[in-house]
Amino acid sequence: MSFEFRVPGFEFMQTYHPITWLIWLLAATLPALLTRNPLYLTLLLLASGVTYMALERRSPAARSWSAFVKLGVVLLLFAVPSNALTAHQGRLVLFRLPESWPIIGGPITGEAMLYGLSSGLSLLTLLLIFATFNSAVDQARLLRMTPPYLYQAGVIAAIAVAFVPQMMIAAQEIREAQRIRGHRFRGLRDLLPLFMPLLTTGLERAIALAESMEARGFGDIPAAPSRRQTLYRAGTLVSLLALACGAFGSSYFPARRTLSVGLMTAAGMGLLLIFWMQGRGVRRTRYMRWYWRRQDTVVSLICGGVAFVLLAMWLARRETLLYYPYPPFSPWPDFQPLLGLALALLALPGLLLPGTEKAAEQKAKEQSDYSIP
Amino acid sequence: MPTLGYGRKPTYRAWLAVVLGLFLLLGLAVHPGYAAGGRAGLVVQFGNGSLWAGCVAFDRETLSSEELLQRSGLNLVLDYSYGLGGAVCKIEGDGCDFPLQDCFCQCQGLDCRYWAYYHLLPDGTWEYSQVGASSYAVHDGDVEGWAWGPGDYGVSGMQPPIYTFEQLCPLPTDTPTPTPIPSTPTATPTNRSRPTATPSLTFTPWPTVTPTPIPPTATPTPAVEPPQVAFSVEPQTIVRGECVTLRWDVAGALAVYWDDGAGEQGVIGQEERQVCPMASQSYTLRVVQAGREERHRVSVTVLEPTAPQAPPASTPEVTPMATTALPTSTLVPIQTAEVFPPTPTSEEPLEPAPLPSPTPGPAVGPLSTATPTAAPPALPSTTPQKEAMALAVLPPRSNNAGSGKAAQAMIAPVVTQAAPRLRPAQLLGYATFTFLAAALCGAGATVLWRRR
Repeated sequence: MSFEFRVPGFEFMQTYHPITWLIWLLAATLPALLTRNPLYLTLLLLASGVTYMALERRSPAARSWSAFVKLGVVLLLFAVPSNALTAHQGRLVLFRLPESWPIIGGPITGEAMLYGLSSGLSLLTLLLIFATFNSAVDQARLLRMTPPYLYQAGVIAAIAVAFVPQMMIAAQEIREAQRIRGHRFRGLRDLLPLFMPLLTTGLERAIALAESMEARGFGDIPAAPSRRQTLYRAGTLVSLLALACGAFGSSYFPARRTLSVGLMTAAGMGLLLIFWMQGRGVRRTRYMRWYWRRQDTVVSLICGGVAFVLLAMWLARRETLLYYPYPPFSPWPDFQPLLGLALALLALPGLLLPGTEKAAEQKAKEQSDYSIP
Repeated sequence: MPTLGYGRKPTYRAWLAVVLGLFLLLGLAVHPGYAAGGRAGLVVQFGNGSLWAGCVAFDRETLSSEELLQRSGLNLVLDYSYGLGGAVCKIEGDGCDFPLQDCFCQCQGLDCRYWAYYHLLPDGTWEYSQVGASSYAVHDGDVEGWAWGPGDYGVSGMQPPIYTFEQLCPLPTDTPTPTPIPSTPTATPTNRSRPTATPSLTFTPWPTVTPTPIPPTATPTPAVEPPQVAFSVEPQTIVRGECVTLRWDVAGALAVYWDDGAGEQGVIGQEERQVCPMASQSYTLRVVQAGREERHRVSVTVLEPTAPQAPPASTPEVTPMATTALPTSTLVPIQTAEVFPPTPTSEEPLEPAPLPSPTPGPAVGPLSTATPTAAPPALPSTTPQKEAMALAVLPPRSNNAGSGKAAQAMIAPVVTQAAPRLRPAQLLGYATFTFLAAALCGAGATVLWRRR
């Protein structure tokens, strides 16, 4: 079996520019991390769900990510009863279990259920957002977007990130092959004919990867690093150390925060300078051009606006995003219609995607249009 | 092979039955009796050195320490977001406003302030609790301590002053044994034993006590200062159908009972109560201290509605026993209070004298942010000696203590609040939410339809 770096079937088709997807990811992740309000989370879940469903037909990677989405649903179904059984707080008492039962004994309250629901929802929403992003932008594109100074680390990270979806695809292929041979998967014992080929495939793939990387000169240690490289390494080490010292000092000696913040700023600037100087030496060529279409402009502007609104809300009026059902607070979440509208706008990339025929045309056009910018 | 599947199922079922049966047995075995009740002491020391100490009664064999705190009536903020119990973020004014701030917002880095939690050991020392407030079961006779302050997560952190259970929860008998409360937080262990063999203890009223500034390390004096009581009614004369406001503010007492003629009732030291009597009536406040008690009475004159707005001929009768009708501006409706040493300016003779006006020293110090504008000027926090104030939520002293009804009345009121209702603005928001969610679902359906 040959090593394929790219997920098969997702070669030359572009939905949006990867930068557009990055802006969408930022705009969708911000509210998922900033609020626990179940109403906002539900809207966000629906919006990213629409986008995910629109992408699903285009990318086989989406199919492998659907397993994670299912995992998120299971977690949500688990979070509500488990929180309700363990956190016996609140005023909306639904029923009572005997006090003598360990852990689960006591009043079962609506607040605990609501809190479990909001926790599960935020987890599921985050999973769905990242599933959507990963279906839209494969790791090859992500690697291309890494800044030059992170080139080597970017390659390694891209390979690592590609591991899970590749394994899922391989498992699917092996499963299909075994089914054709008449094997049926019923219990745990029937999974052995699935796991053995998966393991050997994974090993084979790893060896092939190592060989191909070695052939390309990766991991090759020069006999003596140049003086400039030594300087860069030493500078990186010193800056990182200063950064760590500053972080430690700012939390443990709050009286001298200005000193530690200054140290951290200087270290960060030094790191950026070193990275920039290192990046100057890396030359890259582009194989294919990425197109920036009108939809990209529209989606980027709107998603950027949503992210800005959320950040401003969080900085200026944080209490509107907060949700905490337990007393002395109200278990009923507040809902700001404008904020909800902003979150619903995150479904836009899914709605503005061109239809299937159009996408096929575009694919043909783009394939005949190789160019090196 | 379906036979394999059928062959497995009964074993699963059997295991399930065994597990469920064991669980039920466990539940039956540990099931406690609900008849027993109990009392537990609670000592809370705040950041400025003031203290809340009291006795909380409960109707079960055990109670979680968190419930004990809630039943004390103190304002709490707890963080339940980790499941399996809550973390105490704030008690009254000290601590962190949890959802806006981190629960341990003042414990980041070396400068760490938090609510340290202790149990009183039988030998009279505090033990730093190894579990959280929700996980600890309080039994009858326990004393729980909370202290706000710098701690290093262990035994050497800030500790509350030591009170024994007998000091906090004296038996409601007619002949209480004198149990002096140690006046300094750093009391030596020898003071914790009840000095039963001190019959010569004299109770000198507080104005005569010389205000010698006792250094904090001095051994506590066995003298018990009489309580400072402010009990007032406003207005003293009403037309039938109107209501009056009764306020009391008691410091330095072990227990306070309120009697409106219908029966005695244990209350906390500071309260404001509205009553609407239909006829002239007097209200009595019985203040119990170790070894003595005082009765304070105020009366309300109720006029007939037909009577004109003539001023009443008789001023409200004041019993010579003890009535302190204070100007209302001196009453501070705060939850906790400190008692400061008396100043030498007050030279009134014995017995509950009317409290001086707010300008001199002995007054109830403002503590929390809820202090109204009419509060007395804030006293410097470096007052040489602060006597702890003991509040008690005690059962009413009734003769038929054995009956079931009395046992019911003994229970401290559980802080139960009704769940807040939905506001109209919220309903409007929910309508918008439903609309937006429906629109998104429609968009999803469109996307699915286009896919085909």
